[in-house]
Amino acid sequence: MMNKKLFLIIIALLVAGLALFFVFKKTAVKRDAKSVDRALMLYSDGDSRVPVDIYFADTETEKFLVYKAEIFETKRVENGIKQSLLILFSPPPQGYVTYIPEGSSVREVFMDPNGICYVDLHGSITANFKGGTSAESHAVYAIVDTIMKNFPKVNGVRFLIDGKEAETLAGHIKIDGILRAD
Amino acid sequence: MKKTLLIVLFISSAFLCFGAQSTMPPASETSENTSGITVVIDPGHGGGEWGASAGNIQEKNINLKIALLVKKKIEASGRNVNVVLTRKDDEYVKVQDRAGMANSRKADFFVCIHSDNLPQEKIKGHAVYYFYSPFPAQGQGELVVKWDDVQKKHMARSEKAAEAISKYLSASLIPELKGAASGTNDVLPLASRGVRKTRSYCLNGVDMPAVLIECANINNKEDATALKDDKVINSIAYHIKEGILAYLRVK
Repeated sequence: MMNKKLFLIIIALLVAGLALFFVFKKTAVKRDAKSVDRALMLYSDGDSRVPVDIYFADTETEKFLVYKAEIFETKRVENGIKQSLLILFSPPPQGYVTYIPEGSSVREVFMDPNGICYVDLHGSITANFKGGTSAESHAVYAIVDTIMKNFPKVNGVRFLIDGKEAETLAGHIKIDGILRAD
Repeated sequence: MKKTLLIVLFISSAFLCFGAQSTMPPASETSENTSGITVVIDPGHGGGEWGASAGNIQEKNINLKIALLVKKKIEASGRNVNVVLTRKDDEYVKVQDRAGMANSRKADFFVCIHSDNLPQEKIKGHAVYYFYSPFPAQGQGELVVKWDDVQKKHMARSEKAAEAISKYLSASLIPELKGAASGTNDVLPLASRGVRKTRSYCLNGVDMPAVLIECANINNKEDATALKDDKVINSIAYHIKEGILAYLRVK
């Protein structure tokens, strides 16, 4: 009798635990989406939105899989790029994967008069990168393609890490010089 | 009766054709002269730089294990090829120093050995890379070539080399099937992800044909398990050795 009661309590606790897990899991995803949206607003000129293609990857192949997203309309190209990269650097939606390590961030984005876009990445991207040549190549071109395929005014991308021109992102791919979309 | 004979002949020729795609004789069986040739084998990462990691697998150790075996196998092939390793144990060597070692020896071929870690757990197998840049080499034909452009002038031959190695990594070598060449080489290597071109930092500044082999995706369970098996490591090294010898024969 006592054993049966104990068994029922354990089952009830397990069910309650699972329910709490799913509730918190859902809330966490929602909170992420909201915080990304709030961050995008920092670089907006109003409430109207424009579509952008974000170059995440397929979960089963190495091919890029374009995620159709929206950013806030802005007059400054740099602000549009910053918003797009904020989405690219956030955890990918379900059905997509990212080559960019978790916690990576963009320090600054600026354009030169020749249409070259400088992307200054935080040094943590180098420290946290766990991949090899394939993953690093995809990470670099996910950034380049997201910029160049959405912003026709950009003629090329140059990378900086912690404000300095870097030779490589994480030791496998050369990122010095001008890079263009794949 | 004649019809049956024709059907049998058709089926057997189809089987032969299928077999011809996946099996071939090893390059080491030919008697081309390769003496005086130097090959630099570069096991990626080392020391505090682990490279890719998944579970208890560290890329630097896998790379070194394969490189040491490739050297041993080339030396044992009796082809009088001088093999130089950029590192012989678990030490950190700068990428630029690895290229420098090969350049100062005026080596004929540079082979960089790595292992990949892709976020997609289902992707498995090896890929062979060569250096690519869409811009033409500056200063080609002049006395001084811009240092960053040195590998560009070898792009065509590096591509050929990558194809040779990929072909041998993807094939089942006939003596292995017979068990004649070596009993331990009977495990087939991993799946192929093909030949690729990229702005490789590891091959930049290498003044000779050069390739980078990503031997497997250590984030894939099957690949990770395979890389723990000495028979598979031995087989990968054997196939790389055959690809190197095949390239040296036709280069």
